[in-house]
Amino acid sequence: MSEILNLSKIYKSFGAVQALIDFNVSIKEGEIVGLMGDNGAGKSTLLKVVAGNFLPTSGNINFTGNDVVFNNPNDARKSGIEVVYQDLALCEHLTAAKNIYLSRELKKYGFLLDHKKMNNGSQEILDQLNSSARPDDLVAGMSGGQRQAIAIARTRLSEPKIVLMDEPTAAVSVAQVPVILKYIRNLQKQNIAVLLISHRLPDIMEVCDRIVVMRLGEKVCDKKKIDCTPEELTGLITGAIKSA
Amino acid sequence: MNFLEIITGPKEGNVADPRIAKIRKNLNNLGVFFLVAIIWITLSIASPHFGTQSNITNVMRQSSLWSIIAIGQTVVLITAGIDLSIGSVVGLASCIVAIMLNKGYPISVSIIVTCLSGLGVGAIHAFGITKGKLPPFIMTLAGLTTWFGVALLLTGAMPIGNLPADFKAFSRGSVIGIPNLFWCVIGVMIPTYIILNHTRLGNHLYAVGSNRSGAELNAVPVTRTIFFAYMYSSLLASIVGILVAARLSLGIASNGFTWELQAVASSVIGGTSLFGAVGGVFGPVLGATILSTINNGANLLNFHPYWQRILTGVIIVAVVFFDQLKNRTK
Repeated sequence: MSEILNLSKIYKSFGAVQALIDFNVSIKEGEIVGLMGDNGAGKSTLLKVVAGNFLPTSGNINFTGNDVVFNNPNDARKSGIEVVYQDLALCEHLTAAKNIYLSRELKKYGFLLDHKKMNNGSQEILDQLNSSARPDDLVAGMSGGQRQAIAIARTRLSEPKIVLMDEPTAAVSVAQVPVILKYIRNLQKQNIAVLLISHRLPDIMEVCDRIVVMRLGEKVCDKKKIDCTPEELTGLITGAIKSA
Repeated sequence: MNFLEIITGPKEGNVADPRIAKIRKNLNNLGVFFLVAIIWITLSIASPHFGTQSNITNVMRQSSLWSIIAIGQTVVLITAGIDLSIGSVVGLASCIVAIMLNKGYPISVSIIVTCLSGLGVGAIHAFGITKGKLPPFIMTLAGLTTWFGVALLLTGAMPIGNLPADFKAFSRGSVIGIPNLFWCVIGVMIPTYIILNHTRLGNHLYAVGSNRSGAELNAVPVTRTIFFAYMYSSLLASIVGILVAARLSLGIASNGFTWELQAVASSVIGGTSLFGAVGGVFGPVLGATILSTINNGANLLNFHPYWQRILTGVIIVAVVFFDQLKNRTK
């Protein structure tokens, strides 16, 4: 497996607050890496740096062998990075189809939206995800699981090389957790890498190949899953264990 | 199809049947339409002059100008913004076009320059909101006083008359019995409808109003979208300024005075949400029709002008109250 993403010496600060400090990590093709840490550890900031939402204060991002600078989410998307955000970034007043295709709308005659094509495409993806959400429904009336499906469905519009997922199982019902974990494993089968941020230790232990732990903006652990124990990970997250 | 659901909406936790949701959406527009019909029928009974062709034409002319600025306001409101400068931009545009015509510029050049100045005004508002991070309320409130001041400076606070007959003729003419001003409303409604409902830009306008940060995370060009909304609103205000100058045969800074409130009121009565992401093209036109009908009817029935304002306020509160009540119930 070749390396797909390499972050080296990434720093990110917001005024006096150091959100990321000398952060280094590499992810290979088809690898599932779990990213854990307490609130404020810098996980979501890291995700947004990779997704093009934030420029790093300093450091280098190498993606598929090239040094890259993502000035906006579109740059990252075009390179093959798809994201499922923690708050899902859905627009409640839009339909499921319009949310799925947001900023990648399908057009006909050069400028008119192709509603039919977007609805059909959305239905196909939602069926693959076993979601009961319908393309014509407004997101405002949907359950947590249906919303999560819409956010995940966005990642199916392109052929990504890596999918970044921020707490994808946090807001769904117990019954839907296995569906999402199965989806993550399916991505791996297609040789797509996944960076999975989660507070749920069982999810991380079930699907990840490697686990990275962050504390106060720094990496304190980067080990294969088989070398980790839940007790050690909990200690690293809380600070009871300084590093591993 | 469950007819109870058409009236009450889906039960809590249930997703609405898309067919029923569509009917409900149309019913909301129909509600305002019925309100217009009730007011017209009542006034027709109360005053024998109301239903005459000349009076209906007059109401259409009055409502046309407010309809156009209300459509512009609606586009801004959809992005969860507000444009309080509309009235002053109407006045400024009427002055610019009148000054240029007085200086002998051709009508077409005068109109194009006035429209471009409107686009410039909108761009300044959008720049302050997106780059200066100023709240839309503050930025366009500043615009309200600034552009009124600019218009006073340009004209020396004097009305500019002596406009060419060809220029004035358009606003007073009609085609197949429908005033040209109302044709202008249709000319604005069609492209706005297409933009809002059938283009990527329209989708982005609603997305920005619904969840601005979410739209940003999804690579929606938020700044460009907000620029469009304010420039479009100011462009429509400029067009109305040109039409007012033609109709009144003069450009004066006080043209369009307080019309920003009429634009907001028309839009809100027509079902646009002040919180963004809800609104369309037909609502503001119906809202403007209600307001101009009330003014016209009050004049015919010899109501004191002060009562017209009070009545308008009561209607705005009532419509928004019932709309919110409906949402709370849902």
